[in-house]
Amino acid sequence: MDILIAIADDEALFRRGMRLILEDYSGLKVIIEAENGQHLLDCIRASDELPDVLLLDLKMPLMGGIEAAEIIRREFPSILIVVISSHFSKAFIINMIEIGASAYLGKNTAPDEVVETIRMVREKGFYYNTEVMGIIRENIMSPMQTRANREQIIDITNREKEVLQLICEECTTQEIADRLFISVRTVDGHRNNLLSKLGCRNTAGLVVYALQNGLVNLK
Amino acid sequence: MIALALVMISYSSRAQRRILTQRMENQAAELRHQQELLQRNLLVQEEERQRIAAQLHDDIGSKLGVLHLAFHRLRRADRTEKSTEPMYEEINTLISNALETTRRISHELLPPTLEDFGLLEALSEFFESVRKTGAVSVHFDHNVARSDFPNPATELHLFRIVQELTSNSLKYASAHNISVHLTKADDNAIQLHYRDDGNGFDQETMISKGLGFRNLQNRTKMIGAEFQVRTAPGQGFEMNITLPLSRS
Repeated sequence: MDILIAIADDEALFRRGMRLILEDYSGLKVIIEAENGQHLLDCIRASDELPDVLLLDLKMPLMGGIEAAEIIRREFPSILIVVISSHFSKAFIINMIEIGASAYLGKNTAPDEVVETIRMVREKGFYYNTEVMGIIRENIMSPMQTRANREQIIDITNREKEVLQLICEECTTQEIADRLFISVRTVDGHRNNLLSKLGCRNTAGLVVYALQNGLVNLK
Repeated sequence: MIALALVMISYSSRAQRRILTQRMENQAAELRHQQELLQRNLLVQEEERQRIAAQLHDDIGSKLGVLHLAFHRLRRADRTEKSTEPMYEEINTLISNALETTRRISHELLPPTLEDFGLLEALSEFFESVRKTGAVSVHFDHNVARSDFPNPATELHLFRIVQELTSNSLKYASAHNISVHLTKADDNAIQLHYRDDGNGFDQETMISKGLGFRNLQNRTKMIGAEFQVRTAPGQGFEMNITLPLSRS
């Protein structure tokens, strides 16, 4: 089945170029092109099928990507958000990841990497490249964190901790099941428990929470 | 005779005093006028920077983004042809560099972080980039929130002040350590305390000669703040800015 994609960027030629590139790869289909946040919301609301992945620019007139992402997380939590922005700095990246973006790419990312990111995000729920991972880890214990409640006692079982570790290592559900000799359904159960215990809304949120609170060890 | 002489002397001294007063008033007016001009200049300069940053980002940056995509399409269509590969690689590097340079210049003119996330985040990012040069170690802490600042213009001027001070510490003072504290002692004022351990300088020459210093002076005045400077040759540099907060 094709991965359905929405593109939001105020530069029409960029949208067109991106669409032509994506559709040159197999299994990717662009169903929405929007020129700003409001237009994007209108298109999604009017569309018969929801996009799986949204490629989102941040600086757009009328409604920017930050505001649009917040609304989409609430209204359409299943849509995976991949930010593509020329603002590649810590405050922007951390903010978008806290909102629930599944990936963050610079505007100069090569198309191969964009396609790879779309596929990984679809498969694993998130895909943070080395730079973004570095920024998340640098941000450990920084005052920017609004979501993570440090007072809260983190009460998760050892099994859940193992699952969390493997999620952060970018394993798919099937891979986690194989590694831990449990069923896919059990893995899903653990993931859901983790989401509710840690107050996260998606896998991307779990990874950020785990990294920022030192719940996992990554080499 | 004597009386006449006295009258004349008193008259002339009064006239002299009048001329002197007049001259002082003129000087004061001149000074005020100069200051207004400088402040006006600063405002125009900020508007210019904003405009150029926006145009760089929106026009050149986004066109380069489009070019980048078009280039990759061409390269993909031509991927079986091996002889052109080195040329593609060269063009790819050129486009990437041009994109990065455009982004950097536009960010230096006006950091987008300042606009979207405020002074504290912008300063953190700025100091991070200063640290990365390896020339100086920077300590920055604060106990204020973004909402404590009255408006974006104040945040922008404070940012420029810290930028200017930092560039002085690096360029002229050869400082090894910079420390910056932003504190809110009570509800009435925010204090910005800047300090370096560089060469320091003679305050007299700084005040009379440096345009940088006059810009600092004008910026603090424009946001309604007051400042004290403590420095002497070999003694480092210290500046304290007090920004009164009107309670509303």
